[in-house]
Amino acid sequence: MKQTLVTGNEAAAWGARLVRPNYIPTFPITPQTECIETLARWSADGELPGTYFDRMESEHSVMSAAVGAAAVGARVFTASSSQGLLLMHEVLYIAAGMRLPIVMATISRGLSAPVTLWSDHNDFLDQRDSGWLMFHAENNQEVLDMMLQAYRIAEDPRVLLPAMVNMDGYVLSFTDEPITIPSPEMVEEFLPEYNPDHTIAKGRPVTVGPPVLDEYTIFRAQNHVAARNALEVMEEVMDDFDRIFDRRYHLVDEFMLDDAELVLVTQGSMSTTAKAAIMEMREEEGIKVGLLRLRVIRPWPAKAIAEALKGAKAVAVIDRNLAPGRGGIMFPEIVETLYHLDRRPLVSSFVVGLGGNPQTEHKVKEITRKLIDDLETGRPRVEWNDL
Amino acid sequence: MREEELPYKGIKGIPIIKEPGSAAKVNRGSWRLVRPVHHSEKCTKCKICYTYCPDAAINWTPDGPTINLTSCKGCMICVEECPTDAMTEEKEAT
Repeated sequence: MKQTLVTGNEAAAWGARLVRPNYIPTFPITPQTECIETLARWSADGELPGTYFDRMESEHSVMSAAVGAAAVGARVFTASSSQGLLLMHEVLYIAAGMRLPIVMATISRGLSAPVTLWSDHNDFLDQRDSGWLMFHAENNQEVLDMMLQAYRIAEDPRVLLPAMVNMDGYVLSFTDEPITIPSPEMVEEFLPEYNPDHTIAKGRPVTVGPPVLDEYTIFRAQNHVAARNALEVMEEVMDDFDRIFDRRYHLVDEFMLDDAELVLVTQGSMSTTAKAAIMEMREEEGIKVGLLRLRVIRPWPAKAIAEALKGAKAVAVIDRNLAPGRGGIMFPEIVETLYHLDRRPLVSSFVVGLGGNPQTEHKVKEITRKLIDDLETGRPRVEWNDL
Repeated sequence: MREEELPYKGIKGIPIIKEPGSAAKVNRGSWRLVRPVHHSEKCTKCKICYTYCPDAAINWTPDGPTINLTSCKGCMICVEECPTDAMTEEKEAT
């Protein structure tokens, strides 16, 4: 175990190194490049024994190779961003349908056109219905920790689904943060060898993902059940993670929610800024505001979210993403989750930080004040920041 | 909210076929609309049909080609390529 300064990209690379993958197919794209460069350097220096580091000609090929390797029982890691992640999209469904627990770090970057290199969550959320488990980290320590957890959850026989661990490009990917890197022995105790019995092996020829007729619904339903199982598996895995690494995670991250009347719902790195603003507002203005950070997007932890928000009077869903013609992507998901509560809070939608527009404490305070207005007028709002 | 409980079927719920060679046991030609018919009197045994068949549905014997109709999908490449019109197209009964 050691304390060190690493970027988000390096944290993901450390996560990959510690899980002892058999295969890492790669293709570079900003802002993910540093992650695979780090792994390439380690591989060239002989520090990744038992890992085949592969350079492919496109992201579509990367994910195809990942599927092939996972289908013969390999533990696979890869990483991508933005346009690259979109090029993988077709094969993501195949990985999920074949029930191959590939883990991928995604480093969020806004989508073209117009071109941006900076972070928003559209690339990640575009994969929302692909059947992958989806995790979103707030800081570099959580990137590494989520990587370890993602493998354990994905490879559980009750789940067997691929998983994506997302971090915000630039804000995390290129920012040094102090993190604790666990020892290989601790990780070995946490994550055993991957020995699946549904993949191709010597002396065990199988056909994976064959054409089907009316059984199609059964297999799709099994994807759904497996993803739902993951919620239960996650709780076990997080308990075990806490036991071995002494860091506690939950399905959702609750911050100062006990007495909160106003709640901000956020995702990713902007949550840290929002937490600082919340502490100031509580201290200086006595506003009872708290925060709920979505760290598991798929499967959707509806119960945990409803439980955390049931005491709120007004909720602001802060989306760093946009479904044109619909609005923020997580807003309707939160509204649906709260619809069945006996006493529903007002829910307002804020679209912020597209293409990496910085989310300052000042902006978070503005949103909170708007939420107070909403409570007074009794009418929720849909609004944009940064215009 | 009530949600229908679906059972988790473990490995049985994963789309794999564990038995090797299972495709050989089913009729892969069942959706064919047209079939090739071989006329041995016109055949020069040039093996072009045998070479061009994309599905290995034509077997070669000393007497010329024989068509495996459980494998043939009716693509008619053999009919197109035969230089002596020894292969012709015929509609499947509907």
